[in-house]
Amino acid sequence: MRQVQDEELSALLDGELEPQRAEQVRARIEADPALRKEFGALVRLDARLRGMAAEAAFVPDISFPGNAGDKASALRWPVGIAVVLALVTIRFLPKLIVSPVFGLGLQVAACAAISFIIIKMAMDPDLPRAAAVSGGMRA
Amino acid sequence: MEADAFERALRPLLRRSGGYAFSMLRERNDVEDAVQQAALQAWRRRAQFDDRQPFNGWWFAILRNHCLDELRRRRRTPISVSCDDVTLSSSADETVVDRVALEVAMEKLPETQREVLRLRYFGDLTYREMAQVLDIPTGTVMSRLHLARKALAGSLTATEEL
Repeated sequence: MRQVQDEELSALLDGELEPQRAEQVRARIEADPALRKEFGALVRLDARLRGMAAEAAFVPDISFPGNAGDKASALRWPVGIAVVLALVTIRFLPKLIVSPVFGLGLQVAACAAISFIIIKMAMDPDLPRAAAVSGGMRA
Repeated sequence: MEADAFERALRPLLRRSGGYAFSMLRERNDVEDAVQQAALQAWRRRAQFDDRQPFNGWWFAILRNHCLDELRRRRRTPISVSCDDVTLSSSADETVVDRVALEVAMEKLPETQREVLRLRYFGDLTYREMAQVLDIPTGTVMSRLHLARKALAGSLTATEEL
């Protein structure tokens, strides 16, 4: 009977054997030509598989949920205050101002500010994902 | 787990997560979607993470489930390269020929063996982490991996002798 179990060759290759056992297995491989041949085949295969895995590896472009959530939280209050101020301006300020042209100008400016905020939020790629985190998972 | 700690744990795993998911899904867009979804789920479940266990194993278990869901949705096999799909000219790069032969040989393996090979090489996981992902004993991981390598080596030798 062989002193080395088949699986131990793989475990040696993967660095998963205890140091003492690894030493025994290595010595056995040195002494046994058949075992050496078998281990050599595993080493070559290992190199090919590592090469294939290295070729396939890439960093996916994802956003980190925690950061997206923080960003959404950080934006929520300033955006809310800006929208409320703009709405107050539209509703009340023109009545306090004598010149209707100036009042109309303020209303237009407030509408432009709200539109700008909405467009900016719509174009932010992280915000929909932040909503997914705070409001539930997609699919 | 705070947002910073979560990102610190996950960021170093992204490259191999991409490779692992690609080995199953074969489409970059699907890989990015699966990794993003897995990251969201991991973030939501971070309170359930037991820090006595390796983070790698916990993360890859979630990612694997998302990849399997995607495969079920598509009803495609994980590795879809076959001899019929590939036409190689005599001047084809040797590396490409080698890789295709390897992929074809992997496709012939039973799914349980392919799974450990993917986790070992594309996920770069230890036996303990693989056992955690697959919810099987470490000894089973060791024997499956060795059987997979033996079968793969035999299949490649047979092909190369033709």
